[in-house]
Amino acid sequence: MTDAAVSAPHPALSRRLLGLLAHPAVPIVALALVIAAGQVFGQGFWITLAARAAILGLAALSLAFVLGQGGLVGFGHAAPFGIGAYAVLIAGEMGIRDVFALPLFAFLAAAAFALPTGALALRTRGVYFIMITLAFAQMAYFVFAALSGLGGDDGMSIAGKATLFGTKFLRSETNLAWVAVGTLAVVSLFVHRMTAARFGFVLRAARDSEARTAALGFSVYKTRLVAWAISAGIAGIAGALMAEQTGFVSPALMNWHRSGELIVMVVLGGARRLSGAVVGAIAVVLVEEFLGSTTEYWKLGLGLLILAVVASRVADLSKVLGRRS
Amino acid sequence: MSEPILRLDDIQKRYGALPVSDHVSLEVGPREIHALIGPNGAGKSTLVGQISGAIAPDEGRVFFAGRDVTRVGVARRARLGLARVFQTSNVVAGFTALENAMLAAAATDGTSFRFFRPIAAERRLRDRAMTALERVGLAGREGVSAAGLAHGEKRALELAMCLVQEPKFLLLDEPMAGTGREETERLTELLASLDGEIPMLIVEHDMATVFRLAHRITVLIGGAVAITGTADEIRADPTVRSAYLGEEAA
Repeated sequence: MTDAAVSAPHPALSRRLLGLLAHPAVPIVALALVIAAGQVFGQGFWITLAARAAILGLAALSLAFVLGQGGLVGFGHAAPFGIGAYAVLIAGEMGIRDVFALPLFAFLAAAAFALPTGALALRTRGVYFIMITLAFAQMAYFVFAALSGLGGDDGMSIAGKATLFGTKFLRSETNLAWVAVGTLAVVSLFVHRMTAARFGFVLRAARDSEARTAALGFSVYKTRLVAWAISAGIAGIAGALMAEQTGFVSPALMNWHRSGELIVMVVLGGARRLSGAVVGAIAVVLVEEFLGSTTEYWKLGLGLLILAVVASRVADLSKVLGRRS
Repeated sequence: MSEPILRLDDIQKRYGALPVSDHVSLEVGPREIHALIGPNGAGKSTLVGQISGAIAPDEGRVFFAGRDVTRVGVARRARLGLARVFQTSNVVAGFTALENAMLAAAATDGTSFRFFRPIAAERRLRDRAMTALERVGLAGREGVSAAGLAHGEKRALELAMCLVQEPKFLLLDEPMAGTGREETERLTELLASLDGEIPMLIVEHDMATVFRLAHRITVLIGGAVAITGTADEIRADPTVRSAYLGEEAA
């Protein structure tokens, strides 16, 4: 198949340019630039939007890790996300507001939820895995909706924004945006390292050929469970940031729509590339914001975008398959 | 001969009233390539299952590397160094040849929990994988995705993935099935190059391969050992000629 190469005028150049644009740091740097520009031009709205995209990008990244690398289509990532947010609420009630302690707390809380539920869910495959992760997320949703001490159905405001060495650091929307992007950058680096390391290698091998990987002597189940818990923990950090941004925590954070939205972000950006999740999150936030302000049918626009992206991928895929045969 | 790597001691296995392993005793020496042949339905597969650990015998004992492994399962026998080639193994299609070999090398460490060091920087792993690939003649093909390898190359890769784990013994169940003449010859020479290094038990229909490789041959007929001997002894044996080789020639 050489016609593809012929039709592109400068395949080498365009490929290098694409390669540069596909660098995982690009979307994160773009978000940082938007925040900086927002500061310079006094556009608080840009900053809020960039922070939201960074937070959802972090949640989508956590899902992209297990979905893209592990082949585990979790349809319940809103649960660890929401649990991370509740961790901030509960910690705040207990008087813990330190900006370093909160993410750790959120990570541990979300991972603690993911370990037992993942231990069960990972015994299933395919559609059953999707359904059981959804079921656990719905259980978490209803448990928190029933906890009247935490606001029940209506949710509750967090006691106060996070502090840095005792100062009310996160009261500033801009500081929060920088913390969100900074967290995204650090976690993204960490996830990329993990993916390139043996852990990610075995995770991918198990995704492609579970039987072979197990036959070689790896514990596929344990590897996946650890990946699942780490992923949930990261989603929990994202939830904690979301709680800081909105100042409010409610079961709505764990709504199954959000789980679906995270999958949409991952798929939009391309599941096999981790940074695609951040790109997908930015795209969804932009569509939601700009289409959402013009029409209440903005989800139709999002639907069309998904269709277009998926259709173009399928076209690419068939090209690849055609070349192989 | 010093202590055998594999010893079957009076193995019996019945499926209902039908004996499929009928008082089978067999030894593979520490440097021996031993072939197991027999017509269809002779009980070869059942015997292979009892060697690998997939099937438990009704009576008798299996010794591997001096240990009684009669009641030991497949996974533990594999960890003891009993490698079954071309059976459980299908390569990871999305991985390159090198990545497949590195995966097998990583498996000998038995852990997937290394989070920070890029796999590409694990030099020892890479070197071991490359050595194994060179050994099976796949040098220069390490960057090719396993799905893009020819059938014979895939088999060679599977063998490399096995060698990288430094097995004590290879159990080859019809390694030449589905390969063309030329590939069979290449694969046979590849296995011959391991002669004296790794003992093997090879179950094979292709008599050219068997006579080329085997130091000794055991003929299984109706679940029982008809004869064990060198290639010449087997060729000369009248029962084998009528029951097996004659049938092959026909």
